[in-house]
Amino acid sequence: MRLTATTTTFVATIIAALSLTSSVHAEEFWSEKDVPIVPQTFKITNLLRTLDLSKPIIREITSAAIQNTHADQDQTDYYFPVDQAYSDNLAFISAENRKTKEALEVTKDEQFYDAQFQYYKIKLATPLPPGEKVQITVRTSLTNVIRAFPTHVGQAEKQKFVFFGNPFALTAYPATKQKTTVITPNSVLEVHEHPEEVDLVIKNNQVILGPYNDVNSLEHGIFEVQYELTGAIPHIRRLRREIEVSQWGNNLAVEEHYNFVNRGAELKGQFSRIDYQRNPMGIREGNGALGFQTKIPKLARDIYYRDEIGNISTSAIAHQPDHIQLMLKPRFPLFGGWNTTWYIGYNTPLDGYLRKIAGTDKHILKVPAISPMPDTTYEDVEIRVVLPEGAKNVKAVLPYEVDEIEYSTTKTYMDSAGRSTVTILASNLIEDHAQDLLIEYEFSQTSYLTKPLAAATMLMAIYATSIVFSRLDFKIGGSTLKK
Amino acid sequence: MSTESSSTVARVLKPTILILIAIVAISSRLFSIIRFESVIHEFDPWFNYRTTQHLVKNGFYDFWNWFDEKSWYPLGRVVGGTVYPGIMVTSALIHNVLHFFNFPVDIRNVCVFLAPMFSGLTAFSAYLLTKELKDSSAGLLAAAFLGVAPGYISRSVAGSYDNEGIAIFLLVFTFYLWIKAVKTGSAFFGLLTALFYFYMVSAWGGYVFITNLVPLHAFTLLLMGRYSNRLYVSYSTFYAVGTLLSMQIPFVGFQPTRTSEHMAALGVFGLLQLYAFAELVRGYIPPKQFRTLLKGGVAAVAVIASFGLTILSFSGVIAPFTGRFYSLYDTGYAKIHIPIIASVSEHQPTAWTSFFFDLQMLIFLFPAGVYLCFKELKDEHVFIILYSVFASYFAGVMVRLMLTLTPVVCVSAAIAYSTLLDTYLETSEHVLASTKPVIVAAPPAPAVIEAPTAATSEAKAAGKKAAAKAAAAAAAAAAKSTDADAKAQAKSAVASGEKKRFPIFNLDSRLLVILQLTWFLFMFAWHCTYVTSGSYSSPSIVLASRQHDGSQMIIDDFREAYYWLRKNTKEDAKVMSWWDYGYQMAGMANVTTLVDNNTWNNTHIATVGKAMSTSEEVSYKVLRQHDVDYVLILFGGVIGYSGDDINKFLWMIRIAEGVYPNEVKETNFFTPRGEYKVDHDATKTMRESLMYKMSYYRFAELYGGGNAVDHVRNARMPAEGPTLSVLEEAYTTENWLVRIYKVKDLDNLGRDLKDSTAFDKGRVRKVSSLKKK
Repeated sequence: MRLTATTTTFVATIIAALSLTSSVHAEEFWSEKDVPIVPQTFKITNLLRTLDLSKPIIREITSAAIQNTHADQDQTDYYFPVDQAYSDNLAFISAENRKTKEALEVTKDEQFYDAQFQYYKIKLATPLPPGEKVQITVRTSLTNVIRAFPTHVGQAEKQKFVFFGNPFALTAYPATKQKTTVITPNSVLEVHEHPEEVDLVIKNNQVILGPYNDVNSLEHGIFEVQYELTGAIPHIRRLRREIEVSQWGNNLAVEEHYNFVNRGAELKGQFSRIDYQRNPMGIREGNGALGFQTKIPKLARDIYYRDEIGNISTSAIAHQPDHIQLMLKPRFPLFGGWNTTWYIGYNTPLDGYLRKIAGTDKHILKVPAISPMPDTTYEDVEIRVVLPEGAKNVKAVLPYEVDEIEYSTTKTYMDSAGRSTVTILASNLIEDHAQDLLIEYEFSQTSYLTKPLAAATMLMAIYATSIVFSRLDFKIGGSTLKK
Repeated sequence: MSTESSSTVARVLKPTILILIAIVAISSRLFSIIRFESVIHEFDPWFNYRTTQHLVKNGFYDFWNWFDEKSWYPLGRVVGGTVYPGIMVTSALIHNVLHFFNFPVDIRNVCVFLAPMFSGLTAFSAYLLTKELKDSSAGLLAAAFLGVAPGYISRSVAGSYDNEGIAIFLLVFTFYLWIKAVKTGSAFFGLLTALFYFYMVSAWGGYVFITNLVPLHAFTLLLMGRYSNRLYVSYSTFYAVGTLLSMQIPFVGFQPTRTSEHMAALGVFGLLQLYAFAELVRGYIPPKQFRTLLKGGVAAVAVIASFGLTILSFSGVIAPFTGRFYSLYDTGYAKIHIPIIASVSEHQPTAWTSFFFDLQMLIFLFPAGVYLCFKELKDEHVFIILYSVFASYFAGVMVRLMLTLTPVVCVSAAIAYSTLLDTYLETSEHVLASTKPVIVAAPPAPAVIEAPTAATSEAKAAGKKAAAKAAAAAAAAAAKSTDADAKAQAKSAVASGEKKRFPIFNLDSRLLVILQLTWFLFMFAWHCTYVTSGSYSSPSIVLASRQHDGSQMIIDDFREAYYWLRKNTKEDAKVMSWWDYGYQMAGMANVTTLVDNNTWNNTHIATVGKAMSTSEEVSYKVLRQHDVDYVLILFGGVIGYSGDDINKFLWMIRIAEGVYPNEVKETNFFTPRGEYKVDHDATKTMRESLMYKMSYYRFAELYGGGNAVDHVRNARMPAEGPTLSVLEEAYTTENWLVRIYKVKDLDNLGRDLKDSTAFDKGRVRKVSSLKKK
C-alpha cells in the first residue's frame, strides 16, 4: 500500500500529495533550519531503533554506536533530540551503556533548545576519547500518540489505531547507517505512508524501515501505520494518592482516588446486555475494560474498594509471595470513552517503610510514588504524604522531575498544631514512574507525648466543666422550689 | 444491705445500665453495616442525604434558598421551603462540630449513624418519661424495651437516614417535658417543651400528633375538673412559644393558624384563657351572679366561636383537612380519591400480625400497663391513656404509624412489667415495714405462710396468669401503702380479701413467676434481634441472595445503573422513571429527574404514568415535550425481583387515568376475564404500552428463543418479543434489574421513527400503507 486511498488524515493527505507532485525529498521538504544547535562532536556509525506499538504506551528503543569525532577532546555529553510536538507525550526516558548495562544519567537540557526540538543530555559514564566508539541504548516511552480509527466500534468489534510518526530515528548527529523496526500487536496492519527510498518489509507483525545509509541529523519523514490493538486503553485522568504516617500506631495508611477513562475507540450506538451475555468471548475482542489489577504490599489489611456511592462489591484479592494482587472490577464494563471513578485504601505496618538514623532524630520514609497498573497512563497525579504531628525539617527527594512540591500542614484527628504534609504534583506518569520517593524529616522522642497529653488535657477539661456545672444551681427562685 | 449503701449502688448502677442500654440500642442497629456497608438506605434517606451534603457544602443560607432544578423537571423544587430541615441541620451541626475539633468524619458516616445514636437518646427519654409515671426501675425497663423494640428499629437502623430517626426521640422527649411541665407547673419546663416541640416541627410532619395530643390532654383534664394553675401555665407557655417557633419553619409557615389540623390546639388555648378568666371572676363576685354570668358568657363564646369558625372555613381562610388526614379517618378514602397515597405500601392499613411482629410480648403487657395507669390516674397517667388510645388507632390505620405507637407501648409495658417484678422481688424487710398497720390485725408468721399458699392454690385452680395478676394487684397496693391513698388499699382489700394484701414470700411461687418473666425477656430479646437482623436491616439498594452452595451473592444492579448514569451521560441528562426512584437517581446518579418521592405534583406524575402506559407514538410526544434523554425502569423478570415496574404498572395506569381519562383506561389492561397478564394473553393495549415494551425488549432472546419465563409473574413469554422504534436500549444491568433506554432523536430525513427503524432493519413498508398516506 502506497500513497493511495486509505490515507487517513487530511493533513497527511496534503503532505503526501505535496511530496508526490513536487517529488521533493522528505529531507528537502523540511526546512533547512533543522540544523542541530548542539556541538557536532559525535558521529553515529550504526543505529537500530525499535518502535514497539504492541501496547497503548509506545516504547522506543534506540541503540546507537557513537564515535567521538572531535579532534582532540574527550566527550562526555551526548545529546538526544525530541521533537517539541512530542515533548508532552514523552513520559519517560532512560539510557544505558549497551555493553555494561550501566545506567546513564539523563537530564533535560536547559542550554540547547529551540522551538522545534528539546534536547536531553546523556552523560557518558567515562569520557570518550577522540576517535573511540561506545554503544548506548536510549529508551523512551510515549503516551497519547496513537488515535483510534475508525473512531467508533461495536461492543465486540476489534478496534484499530493509527500511528503517525517519523520513519527515521531522530538524531542530533549524522548517522552512517540506521534502521527502524516497528512492532505491532499482530499481523493485521496497513502502512499508509512511508519514505520512498527503500522498499519497506513487512514480516508478520513487524514493519522494517531501512536500513538507510548516510542519514542527516534531525532527519524527518512521514510514516503512518494502522494496526489492530484490542482491549481497553486505560487512562487515569486524575490520581490522588494519600499516604498517612502514624509513628504511634506504627501504621501507614494509603488511599488512592482514581478518575478513569477508557481511551479506546468509542462505543458505536448503545450497550446491549444481551449481546454481551450471549457472546462473553466477544468482549475480549472489543475494547471493554472488565477489571484492573494492581499490587499492594503483602502485609496490607483493611483493604477497601469504594466509589462515590458506596462499596463496590466486585473485587478479589490474591496473595502472592511478595505482594497482594488486587483485582478491581468496576460496576460496569468500561467501553471506549466510558468513565468511572473509584478509590481504594489499606493500612500496612510502617516497619518496612521508615528508617531512623541512629543517634539522631532524623527519619527517612521510603514509599513508592504510585502503585502501578500495567499499560496505564496517568494524566495528573497528586501525592500527599502526611507525616506525624511534630515532624520538622521535611524534605522530599524524588527520583525524577515533577511539576511541583509543596510543604504544608494538615489537621486531622486530635491535632493541635497540624501535621507536616508534602504534596507532590506530577503529570504524564506511567508504570516506570513507580519508583520510591524519599521523605526525610526530624521527629523527636518527646513528640510522641504530645498526643496523649492533648487527649488527657481535653478529658480533664470536660471533667472540670462537668464538675463545676453540676455544682451550680440554675433554678429561678432557688431554694423556694425545694420542698 | 442498708438503704444508704443501696441507694449509692443505685446511683452508680442506673447510669451504667442506661449507658449499656444505649450501647445495645445502637449496636443492634448496626446489622446492615456489618452485613453490607455504611451506606444510605432506601428512597427518602437519599434525598435527606443529598440535601445534607448541599447544606454542608454550601452553608445554611444557600440551603434555605436552594432551588433544586434537578428535580421535577421542568418545574424544579424549592427545597428550603418544602422540607423539614431538622435532620439535615442536626447532621450538619454534628459534622461541623466534629470538624471544628479536627475530627474529619465524612458527612456520609454522620448521616448513617445518626438514627442509631438518636435511638440511644430515645431510650434515655423513655427512661425519664416512665420515671415520671412510676419509678426509675420501670424507667430502666422502658428504656430497654424501646431500645430494642423492632417497631422503632424498623425506622432507625444505621443508614436509615430519615426524619423518623430523630423524630421519635423528640416525640418522647417532648412528651416527657410536657408531663414534667404539667406536674411542676413551671414555665421553664413549658418553655423547654415548646423548644423541643419546635425541634420536632422542624424534623417531621408527625409533629401534628403532638399538636393534637397535648391540647387533648389539657382538654381532658379540664373536663375531668382538674384545671389547675400548673396546667394553665404549662399549656399557655407551650402553645404560645411553640406555635410562634413552629411558624419559623417555611414549610409550616402559617399553617398553625390556618389549617384544621392545628385548630384544636388553638381552641384549647382559648378555652383555657376563658376558664382561667372565669376562675378569676369567680373569686371576685358572688356565686349566684357568677352563675348567670357564666351561662351568658359560655353561650356567647360558643355562638361567636362556631360562627367564626364556619365563616373562616367556608371562606377558605382555614384550610380543610388534607387527603392524608382523611385517609387516617377512612382507610378507603385514599384508594378512591388519591391513588398516589394509596400506592405507597407504608400507607396501607396494618395487618394484625405486624403488631406482634413489631412489639412481641409488649403488646400483651401494654393493656395491663394502661390499666395500671387508670388505677393511678394522676394528670400524667391521663396523658399516657390518651396517647395509647390514639396511637393504637393510628397504628391500626397506617403501617407507618406503628412508629408512634411503639414508645407508649414500651412505656406502659414497662409499668406493667415492673409492677410484676416489684410484687415478686420485694425484699421482706421493706414489705414488713410497709405492711405494719395490717400486721396488727393478724400475727405475722401465719399470714406470711398463708398468703403464698392461697396464691399457689389459686394458681393451680385458675391458671398462672390470673394468679400473677391478682398477686400483682395485691402487691402493688401493699407496696404503695405508705404513700398511696387509703382508697386504693380499701378497694383491693375488698376485692381480694385481707390475706392477699400480703406480698408473696414463698420461694416457689416467686421463682416460678420470676423465671417465667425472665424467660419472656429472653424471648423478647431474641425476637427483637431476629426481626431486626432478618427484616429491617436490608439497605434495599443492595440485595443479597444465597447461592446454591450457601455463599452470599450481592446483587448490586441499582448502583451499577445509577453509577453508569452518573459517569457516562451528559451532565444535564434528564431521566424519566417512576417516582419511586426519583430520590435515588438524584442522589446516586446525579441526573435531572421528572418526578420523585416528594409527590407534590400529581399531574406531573400522571404525565409520567401516561408516557409509560401509552403506545410509542403517544408517549414519544410526551418524552420530547419534557426533553427526556433516558428512561429508566426496573425489571425483575430475570431474577424474580417482585418489586419491579410491571408490578407497579397498575398504579401508574390508575394515576394517569385520574388526569388523562381519555387516553389511559385501566380496563384496557385487563383481559376479558379480568386478569392482569403479560404473556400470550396480554391485551393489545398492554403489549403496545411503552412499559411493557421496555421491560420485555429482547427478553425472550435470553432464553434462546424458546421457553422465556418471567420469574416474577411465572408467565411464559412469547418467543417474539416487542420491538422498539422511539427508544434504543442504552444500558441493562448485570441481572437485568435496571434497564435504561435512550430516547431517539427525530429522524434526519423527517420520517416517522417507526418507519426509519423498520427501514434500518431492512423491512420495507407495505405498499398499501404508503398508499393510505
